[in-house]
Amino acid sequence: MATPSSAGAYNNLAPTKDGPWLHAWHDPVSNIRAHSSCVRLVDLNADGSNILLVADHDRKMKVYKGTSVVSEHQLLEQPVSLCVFYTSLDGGGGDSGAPRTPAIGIAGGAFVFIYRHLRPYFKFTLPPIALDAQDESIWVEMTSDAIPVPQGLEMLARARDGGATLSSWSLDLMQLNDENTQRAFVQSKKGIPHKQQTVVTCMETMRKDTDAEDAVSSLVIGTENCQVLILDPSGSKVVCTATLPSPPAILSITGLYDVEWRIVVGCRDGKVYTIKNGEKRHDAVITGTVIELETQPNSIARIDKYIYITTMDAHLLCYHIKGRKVFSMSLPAPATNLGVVKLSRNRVIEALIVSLSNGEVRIYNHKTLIHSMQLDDVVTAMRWGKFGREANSCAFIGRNGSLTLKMMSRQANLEKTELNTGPPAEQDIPLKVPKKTKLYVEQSEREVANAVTMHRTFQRDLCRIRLTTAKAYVKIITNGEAGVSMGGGGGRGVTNIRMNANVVGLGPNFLLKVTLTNGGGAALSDLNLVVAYKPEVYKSERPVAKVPLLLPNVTQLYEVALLCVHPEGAADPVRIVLVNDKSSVPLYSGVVQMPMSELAEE
Amino acid sequence: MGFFSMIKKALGFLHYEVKILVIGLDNSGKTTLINHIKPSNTSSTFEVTPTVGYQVEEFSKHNLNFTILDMSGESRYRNLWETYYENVQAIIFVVDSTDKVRMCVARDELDELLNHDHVKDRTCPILFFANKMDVPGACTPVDTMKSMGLERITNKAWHITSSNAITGLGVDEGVEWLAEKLIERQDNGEESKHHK
Repeated sequence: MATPSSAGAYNNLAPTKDGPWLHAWHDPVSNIRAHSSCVRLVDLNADGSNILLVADHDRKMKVYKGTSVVSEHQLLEQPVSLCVFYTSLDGGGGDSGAPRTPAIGIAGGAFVFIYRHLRPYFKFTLPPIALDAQDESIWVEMTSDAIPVPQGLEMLARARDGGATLSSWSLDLMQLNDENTQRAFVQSKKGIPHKQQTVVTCMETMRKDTDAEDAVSSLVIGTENCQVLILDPSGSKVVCTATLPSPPAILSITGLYDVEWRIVVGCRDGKVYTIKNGEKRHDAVITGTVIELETQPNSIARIDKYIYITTMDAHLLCYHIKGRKVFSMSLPAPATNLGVVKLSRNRVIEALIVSLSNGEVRIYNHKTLIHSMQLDDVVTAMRWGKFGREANSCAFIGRNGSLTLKMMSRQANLEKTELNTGPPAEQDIPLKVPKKTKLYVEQSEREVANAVTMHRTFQRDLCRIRLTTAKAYVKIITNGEAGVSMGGGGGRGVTNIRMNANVVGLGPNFLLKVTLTNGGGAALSDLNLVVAYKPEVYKSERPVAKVPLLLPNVTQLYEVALLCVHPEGAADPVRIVLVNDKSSVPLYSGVVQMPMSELAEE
Repeated sequence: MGFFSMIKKALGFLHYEVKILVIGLDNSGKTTLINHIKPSNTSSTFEVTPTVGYQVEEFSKHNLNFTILDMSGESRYRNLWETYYENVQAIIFVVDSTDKVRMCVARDELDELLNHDHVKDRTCPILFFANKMDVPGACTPVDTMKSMGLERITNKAWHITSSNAITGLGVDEGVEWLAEKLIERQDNGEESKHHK
């Protein structure tokens, strides 16, 4: 083989790696359709090499060893859940040292089919539901021809209206319209024991007394008639029953049956209940902790004391086991699956793995996003565990029938802490507080000692300032100096005159254009517009303009010509005053700032 | 044993130590392979149990002291590998060529090795064994090379050969290559600081 000698650096950007994930294998056309509870990774042959078991929606159990399907098995019912458990009947295990082989339980309809060594072994049937007494007796009479079918129908209808829960036979019968088919239906039920069956909605496993991979475990079944059943490890009888207010849909189990256990159940009424062991063995207690969700849950996971729930409105919620809400986080798309990543290193690290309906797979450590990976397909089923000989693997099944295997790198760090948590770094930098001088200390002491006096002095001076200001203001406006019209105009009430003055020209000849508007309600008459100036600076032919009548809201223009007589063309403010002969105080006065004048041409 | 005689030729009568690190994932056949390199127990076909931690094989031949570090490939012991990178003259990486699914893990471990501070800038030769060649469905050395991304190694001498550690087939070929490389390097005086 070639031995390249160039000193190029080794390229780490391998396409097979995406953050902590290593890409192991991808089959885009595996043609699997399943959800998470039907996919398990299991050491079926007890040889330390795990295989992938899938209960497919097309009623087949598929066995994947490595990258190929080893066998397919036809199932009798549509699978609801596939579970792997170790029964006490198994040879080996425990002290003998020989490894155990597990049993497989596949729930479908009212049954759990138990397989050993991939062969059908045993069928567990859910206990039948007690029939309504009325319903039962009507059927006995109908099948023994004691009463005609139409009369039986009437009686059933009456029983239904009376609040009785009818059996599926009765419901089927009442669906039929034609009397002949009704009679045929009743005939067909002759000789068949009348039983009402419920169906399995979900199934998981619970270990018996040891927390080990191949410890004896038993099945836990949720049924349509709102019950959660715990079977004995052989899978033949129910040892513990709990009845919930609503049909269970999701089970999340922790603990050991013989020691202490807890089942977190997501129900169809959008609530999450908790069942735990009672005082006595084989007792189950539904705790008062009920988590009411705003929307339906679609996955539940447990880490330590926390319950993590993904809901259909694209939220990841976290509750403490006692029911207290820890956080709620909005996801970019609704989650399809929620799982727990468990890395056993020096210590066990657990993180959440969430698959979203946009094909993203995210890893969260509590509420910190560790990594996000985009897959080609929307994940419908996801199972973390050991695949082959690699403990940290995850199998993803896509909506389009793809199967993807990812493995977690040994170096993966799932404990990245959020960068912006805790106090900011600036908090630790001390402020530059100046040193306390002697003067400052003395001042402070004086302030403390004489606080009341100081405050009073300050308040008195403040009042005085306000009074002085007010007095000065009043003086200004009564003198007509301010740009505020004042005075009675001869006792005819307050006038409201607006004046606007413009200076036109560069000098020495200026034209003062004054516009006057009477904003008041009454007309003013016999006014004089007087332009007052310093005679050494300006000169005017007619510094007075007669205003015979100033009508309300009519703007009038007056022009006064000014000539700058100052030899250097200096500027000086000019005062414009509006007076009438009935008042000694001007009606209005304003000051016009004149510009510097150009020198007169010689 | 061409390996030993060649090294002896290269080193004359110097008392020389060669330290070789053998790594690879669990169940890839490292211990079985070493049993064939060892001079005495070549014919032994005893049951090999998974190595715990590591095993050191030390033997002396033709005035040479060999130290072969047989590391455990189990995930929980893989962090021991890097502690020996600094003091070895050559690395043998054993790949289970039948385990296609875990090839990505082997590749990840190789990446870790090649990016390690004690290996990155050194030119120590790396020998790859695509082991279990006798099992049906095993990858060819070329396929293994591709899935491991060996073509990216540009600053080290490397070689891949298929082997069957149970019968010893292909083991000698690889070891002879390694011996050649070690002699070359000795002649060039490379990395003499790592020598005793």
